[in-house]
Amino acid sequence: MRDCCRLALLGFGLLAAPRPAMAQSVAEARTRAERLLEEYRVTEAAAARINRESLRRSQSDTVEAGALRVVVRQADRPLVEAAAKLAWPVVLSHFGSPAGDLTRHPISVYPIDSVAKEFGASASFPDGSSTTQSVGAGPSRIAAGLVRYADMLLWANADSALRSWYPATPDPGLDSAVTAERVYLELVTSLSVQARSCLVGDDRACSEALGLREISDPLISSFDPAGRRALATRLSDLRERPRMATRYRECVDDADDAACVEVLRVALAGSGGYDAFRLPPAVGDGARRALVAEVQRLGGPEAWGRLIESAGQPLEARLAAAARVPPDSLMRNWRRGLIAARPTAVTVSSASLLMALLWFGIGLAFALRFSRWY
Amino acid sequence: MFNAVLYTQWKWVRVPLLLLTLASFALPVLSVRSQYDTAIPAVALLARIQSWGVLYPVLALIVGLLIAMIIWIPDRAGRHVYALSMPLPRWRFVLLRFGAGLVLVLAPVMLLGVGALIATVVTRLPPGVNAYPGAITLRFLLATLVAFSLAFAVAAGTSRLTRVVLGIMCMVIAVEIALALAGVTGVDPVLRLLEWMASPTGPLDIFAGRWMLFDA
Repeated sequence: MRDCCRLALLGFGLLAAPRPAMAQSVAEARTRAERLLEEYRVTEAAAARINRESLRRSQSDTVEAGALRVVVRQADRPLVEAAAKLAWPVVLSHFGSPAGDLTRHPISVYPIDSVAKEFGASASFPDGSSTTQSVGAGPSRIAAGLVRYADMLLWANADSALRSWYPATPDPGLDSAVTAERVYLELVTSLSVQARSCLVGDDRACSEALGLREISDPLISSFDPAGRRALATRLSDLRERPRMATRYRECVDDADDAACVEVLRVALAGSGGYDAFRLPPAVGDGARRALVAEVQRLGGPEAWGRLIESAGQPLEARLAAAARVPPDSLMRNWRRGLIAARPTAVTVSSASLLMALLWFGIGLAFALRFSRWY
Repeated sequence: MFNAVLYTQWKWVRVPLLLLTLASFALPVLSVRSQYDTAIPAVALLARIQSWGVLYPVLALIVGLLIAMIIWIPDRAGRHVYALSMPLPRWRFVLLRFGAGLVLVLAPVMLLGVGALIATVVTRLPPGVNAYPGAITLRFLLATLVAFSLAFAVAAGTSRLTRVVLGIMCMVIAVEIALALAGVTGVDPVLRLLEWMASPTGPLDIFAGRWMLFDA
């Protein structure tokens, strides 16, 4: 009887329960996502605090390599010391003497599993925030993690213009060739006119795509009619809104550019009860990282010092001065690197060709060998 | 002799062959349909080409398998009496059948190449996107040849060979079921076999991967 009551209650509960997934609007979903992100940040900060505290309690030690200061458990010292020794020359080659600032920003490295196979790292930034990341296992991977942290800490100490231009997301730590290949694909597949013009050799378009120059009215200047129509298709919920439905259909179904502009302007303004929409950037974070890497390659270890000393000047000029080349040369070099890293085209490799011919021969041989008159 | 074999095989396969040839010509042309001479974002073009790309290996497989199977049906049905009555050794007869089959199989491949060239010429490619009509035709040719050759071997073989091939396949499936029933995990013979077939040394390697008429 009790089970029956439970089942009945469960059934009633299921029927009476609200159905958020069905009724959830974009605004509600966004609010929920923002709340979750905030909770994630709070949890991450708490985890970092707990890790630091645990380090302090478990007889922590500080490893020094150049200006790198790494707080570790005594038991992990040999491993982290080896990693720090690998990391420091890389940091020094990227940032030169200003990397000395790192002495003021210790990085904590600690095991994130019970057997101390995988390690995590955390550091506090000048604005009071902190970040925690897994850095993997083994000296080389921990060293790569330390280089990433050094990069984040030094950028966090740069002036606001540089900070707001450089990606705020943590460096995924990809190989430079992989980053360049991805950026190339971004340029090819971007909806932005500047990205495509950049690819065919327009230096000014490259700096606009990278956000180094202002673009007036990006909706018109950065997208062609096909691009605007493609953008509008992302706003499919407008098809159901009474006030915009007609113009939306004219844009998407009839390719009416004026309708697309109108729909997108309303969406961008977030007016009329619609959720604000943002134009996608011409290229992603990887492109900016690749440009900075090019500046550091061209300008040598002291490029970073020149970059931070030129605060107040336009960003494009600062990067070019840091690289010690004219702005158009910098763009050309950056583009050349990306084009050189373009993914392998669709071809039949010689190994595939040989294997196909081999299997073709095997089939023929079997046919000749095993055919009989019955 | 070759012409006579070719002619008889043509008579047997002409209807499916014409349909497959038409499909091979239409595939690249249809994959860029509605995008001729209109500037479209590269991402949309590549997504469309990628979604149509799965049809190329399927078509190559169908062309190879179907032609190889059909050209042996009359011989099997007639218990090889016609072939026995011919004044030539068995291996030469098989070679004639194989050669004539190859000539027939080349028709869809050539038309696919023509279709790919037309699709490339009529489409305005965004910057950074390149066309690969030659590479895709070569790949289609190789995939068709592999499918034709392996299917031909099975179709031309003895009933015993067919039984052996089917027996091996059934055995692998039976082992898979037995292992599942015994609760053994981590061993998956069917998956392993498929993985090997699609591996760089397997017969299906040429079918795997991206089949892109246009790519970045």
